[in-house]
Amino acid sequence: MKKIKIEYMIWFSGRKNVRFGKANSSSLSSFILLLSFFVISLLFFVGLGISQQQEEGKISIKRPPKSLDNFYPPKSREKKFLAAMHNMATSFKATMFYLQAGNTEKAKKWADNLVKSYLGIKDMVPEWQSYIKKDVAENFLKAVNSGDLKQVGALAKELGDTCKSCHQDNQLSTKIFYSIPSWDEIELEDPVSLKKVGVHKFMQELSDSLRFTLIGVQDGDFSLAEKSAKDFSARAKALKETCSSCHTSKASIEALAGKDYTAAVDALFIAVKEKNSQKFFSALSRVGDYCTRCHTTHLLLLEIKEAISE
Amino acid sequence: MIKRFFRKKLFRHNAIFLFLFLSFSFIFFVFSTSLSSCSLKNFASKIFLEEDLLQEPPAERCGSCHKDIHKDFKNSRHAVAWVSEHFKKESKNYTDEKCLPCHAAKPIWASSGFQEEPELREKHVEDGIYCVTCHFDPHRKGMVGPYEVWSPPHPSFQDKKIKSSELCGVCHQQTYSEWSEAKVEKTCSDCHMPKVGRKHLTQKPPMSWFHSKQDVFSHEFPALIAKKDDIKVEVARENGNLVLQLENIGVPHRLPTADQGNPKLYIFLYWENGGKETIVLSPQQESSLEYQKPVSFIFEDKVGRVKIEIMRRLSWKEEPDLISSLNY
Repeated sequence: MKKIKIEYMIWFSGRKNVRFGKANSSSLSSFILLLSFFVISLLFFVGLGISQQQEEGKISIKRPPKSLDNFYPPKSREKKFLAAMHNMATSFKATMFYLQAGNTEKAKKWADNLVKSYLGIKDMVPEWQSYIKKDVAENFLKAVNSGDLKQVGALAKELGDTCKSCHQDNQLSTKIFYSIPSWDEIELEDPVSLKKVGVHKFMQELSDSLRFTLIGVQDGDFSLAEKSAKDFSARAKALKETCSSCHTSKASIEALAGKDYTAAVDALFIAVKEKNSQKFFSALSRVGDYCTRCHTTHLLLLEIKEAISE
Repeated sequence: MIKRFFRKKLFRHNAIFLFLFLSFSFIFFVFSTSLSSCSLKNFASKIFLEEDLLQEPPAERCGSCHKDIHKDFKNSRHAVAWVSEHFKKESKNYTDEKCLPCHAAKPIWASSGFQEEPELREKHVEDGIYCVTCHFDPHRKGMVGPYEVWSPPHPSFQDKKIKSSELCGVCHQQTYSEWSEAKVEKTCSDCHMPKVGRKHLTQKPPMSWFHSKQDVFSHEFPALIAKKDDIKVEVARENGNLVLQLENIGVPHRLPTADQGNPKLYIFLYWENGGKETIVLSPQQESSLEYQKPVSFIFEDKVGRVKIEIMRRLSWKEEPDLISSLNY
């Protein structure tokens, strides 16, 4: 497995307060709160998944089988595999509900639905057929038909264990691999060279122009610093264009790279023009907040995705 | 003699036939145009109704009668809204759900006015934004247009709202909001649906014979290019700086504008003794020129004459087009 390498373009310490632009309404705050909750939850589950699969300090997350690609974007718009998973979960719940309510007919219908979806998994993803226990599923169906609750309970657990086993091995990597958007297809125009480049290349150029600004400021070479800061400013603003590749909501773009972000970038350039190091580092810290915000949202999981995408 | 007899008789027969045909045509025309609510009209509407036209047919089907308009539409970006390689790539092979409704929208008429958001239709998606999207009203079960016409193959409803900017704004929401802020009388269609002439609406006899000519507007929906005078350029040189001020005075929305696309406006400055500056403005950076809001850019003046070139690049194009070139 490829070693997961997380390298931050910029890591600034300093400001801890998150600043929002003028659109700092309650809805925007709620959105940020929700986003943070989502990221924290995702990181928690990543952590949970990693700990579940940890063995002597080794992380084991692998790329899902290729056949699963057929049921997720970009190959398929209909998420048939995910639908089958939800169908099984619903069918299982309905089977147990109706059995306990004494409605065997409806329980049979849902159990039949469950077993059909369960056995269909190996046709969808042949690489996972070893997880599927046909005899257990068929015995579960027979038990439901007989209405023997005790036997149903025992077989339900056995059947559930096969699901759990597959989820432990694959759920985390599947979620990361198919849910985290790929940046490979996104291109944007470098405002300095006016050439279209991929996001990785663009980020490298952006990072370089900031590093040279930093070198110029620290060495007192403000000619180098100003030229580099000008390039950085143009690139940092152009980076916003990538947001609209996925986000159709202006509020979500405003939250990550809104007017305050543009103001922070402008402040950095003005500080360099004024040859004011103190102002420069203050502005740098503000800009850094935005780098961290976007990287925390997008980069961490993307790094994991790329690491398993071999 | 026999020949002459036949000629005479045939001529007489033809003359009678022609007389009868013209008489019927005249009566039919008079009834159809002057007696708008008469039963004959309803009867004819039932006889000539083509049911499939009310089942949201493909553009080709509408084009079987409205040939000229269909031809026009085929050259539009709306016609390739779904099938263009650009969209296929941007929508990640049509899997980015959020992008799809605007590129193959269902009819956008609501029970009153227009829908707030477009919805993705299931059939004929390859036609993109087509006839049915804007002209078919599922609530009234007929075609909506700007004219009062009698069209036996399908019910038609005159509704002036079809020429309103609100219609375009169902999908072009960002541009619509910019246009609303501009508070101008010109609508989207005033610029993007220029008049192409006074024509028949259909080109398929016999129905086309009964139509009077109408003003027909372009269904190519040209993106247009700003004119030199649309952007006011002012240059001031003071204290070793060159201050360039740009103002969009002619286009009542951002220049350039887009909801999700990424068109660009480039401003290049060339000093005669060397030196070049570039400004890139784009709607996704929220830096494109707002209507009647001047923006200034300050450069270190490199002395001597300076040439300013303003260019634009449309989202789906690789190369920019020149808007104006000025010397100072």
